[in-house]
Amino acid sequence: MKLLLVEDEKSLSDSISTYLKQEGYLCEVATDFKLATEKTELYQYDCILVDISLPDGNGLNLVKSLKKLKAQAGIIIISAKNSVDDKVEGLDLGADDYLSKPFSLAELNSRIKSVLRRRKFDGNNEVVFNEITIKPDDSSVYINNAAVSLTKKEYDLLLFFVSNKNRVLTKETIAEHLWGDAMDMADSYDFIYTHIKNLRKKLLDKGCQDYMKTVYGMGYKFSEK
Amino acid sequence: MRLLTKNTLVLLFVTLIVFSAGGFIFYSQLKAIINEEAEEALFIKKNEIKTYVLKNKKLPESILLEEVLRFSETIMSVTESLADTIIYIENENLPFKQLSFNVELNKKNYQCTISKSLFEADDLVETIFQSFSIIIGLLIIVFITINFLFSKTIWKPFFKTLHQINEYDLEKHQVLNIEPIATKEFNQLNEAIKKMTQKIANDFNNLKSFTENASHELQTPLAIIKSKAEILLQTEGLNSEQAKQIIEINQTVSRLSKLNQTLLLISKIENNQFSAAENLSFTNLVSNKLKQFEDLIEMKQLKIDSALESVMVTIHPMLADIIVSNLLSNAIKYTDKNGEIKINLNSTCFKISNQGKPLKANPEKLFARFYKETEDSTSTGLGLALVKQIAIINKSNLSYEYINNYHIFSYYF
Repeated sequence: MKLLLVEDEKSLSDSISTYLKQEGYLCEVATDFKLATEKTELYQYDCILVDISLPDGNGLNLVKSLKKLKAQAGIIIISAKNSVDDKVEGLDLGADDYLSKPFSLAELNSRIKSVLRRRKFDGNNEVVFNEITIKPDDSSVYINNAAVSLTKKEYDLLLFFVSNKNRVLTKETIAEHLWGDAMDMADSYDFIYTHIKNLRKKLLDKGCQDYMKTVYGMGYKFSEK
Repeated sequence: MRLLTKNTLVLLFVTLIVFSAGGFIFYSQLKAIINEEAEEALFIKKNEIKTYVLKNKKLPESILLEEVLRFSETIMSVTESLADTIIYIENENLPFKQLSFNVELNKKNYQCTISKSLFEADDLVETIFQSFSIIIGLLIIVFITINFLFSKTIWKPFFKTLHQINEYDLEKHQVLNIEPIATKEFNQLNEAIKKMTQKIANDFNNLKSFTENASHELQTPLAIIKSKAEILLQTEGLNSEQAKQIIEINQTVSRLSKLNQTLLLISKIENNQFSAAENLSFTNLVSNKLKQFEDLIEMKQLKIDSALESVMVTIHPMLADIIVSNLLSNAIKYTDKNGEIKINLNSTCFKISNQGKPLKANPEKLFARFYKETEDSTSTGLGLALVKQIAIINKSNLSYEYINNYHIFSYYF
């Protein structure tokens, strides 16, 4: 998978590309609008991450020209502006998703995976992890081909875990992913525990291994080891 | 006081002063002329008498028209003298000009006195006063009539401008454009207003973009810190103490970011950037929010007692969202475990009551920015301030009461 990250802030683009490279992506970085335009005209990417405010242009114009080129790449806008208008405009222009700064890298990763899955036109967009098979088309989950009935939250939680396997996910990151901004007034993120407990039980009941591990003092980690 | 009345009064005052002064000058000059005339007449008379005495060798008869003539014999020749005198005639003191001179007849000296009646000063003043009063009266009547007849036409552009200023919504930040008119002063006024509103609009836009830019510029460094902390967290072999520090960095960044976004939101609300209202179902909004907060409610095992009527409210959807979210999360946050929250919604009011201990501070402080009831680091202290601000912008009312162990927040639409 080849990604293009258009971000003028070097520290941020370093972090993002480091994280994404660990995920096995080929991640190229363009630090300004001009370079980004050149790259998109010359090469094919699977997903392009665009910062709206660039020193020499507006990221939204890049989205426009990408759509003009009929580029197949998925587009995720990353913006310092958490404004509804910008979000609507970006999505109207044909961007697949919109993420406002500051975001968690795990969240970005899960959004990229989701965009890439939707972009795959060969129909095979299943997510497989050992005995777990997730079919995002109808939000269904199978353990060794046996269907597991999950609530919306449990499904989202599992997909988020699988998308960020082998990563430590803090409760805050998980809460933000599942509830968005709404939960930021919560005193603690203990309510996540209930969902994790229920999900774990349902998976174990179907004969799934216990991949969800509590990392003491940090959060949770989905891994084989 | 109306400008017209003021104008008329000033004019009346000035007219009175000018006419009084004018009247005085007129009076003195008239008096001087009459005096002169009388003197002249007396001297002519004197010559006539002298000629008569020379010619007829006798004194003339004493009665002459208008003048009083007297002769008295004197030993010495008298010197000629002119004087003002008052003669008492028919119960009245009348002013006279009197000329005395010597007439010689048959070797005898006679003092001849001719007196000529002058106009009475009182009469003169009265006449002048009367005529001037009539002139002033006429002038004022004419002035008021003209003012009344033409003021509507003349002041029309002024009242048009006034109307536009009254209609001007400061928060819409537009430039007030008034068509040019023929009257120079009104044009100057309109130009000044145009310039002023232009400046208001510019200042607003500058401030707006500054606040937004400053706030957005802050988000990028926060994003960098957050991403670095996250990468650090993935490092192998972290001990739990190190992990705790990193997580705290992460949480602080989130708090800072939230604070920044909320401040930006308040400033946007103050600047009326959420003026596009929609007619939306408040009932659906409340039930959706309850669903969203389900996990928090369950975690604290709160009892929710909701009575929701079907209510449509015209409001910006985002603002409605903030009202419900903030009031509800506030109630959840400050209710003890197993406590109760009552939610009432009807066409006039959205009311959330939650059980809890009385406030430590003055309830009025509750809606102040950055006020926190507890030393809680996850609270921005802006949630209720935000709702209050929304209430102000929407000309609604947000109130707080504490009755029977219940904190009651009521948002009156």
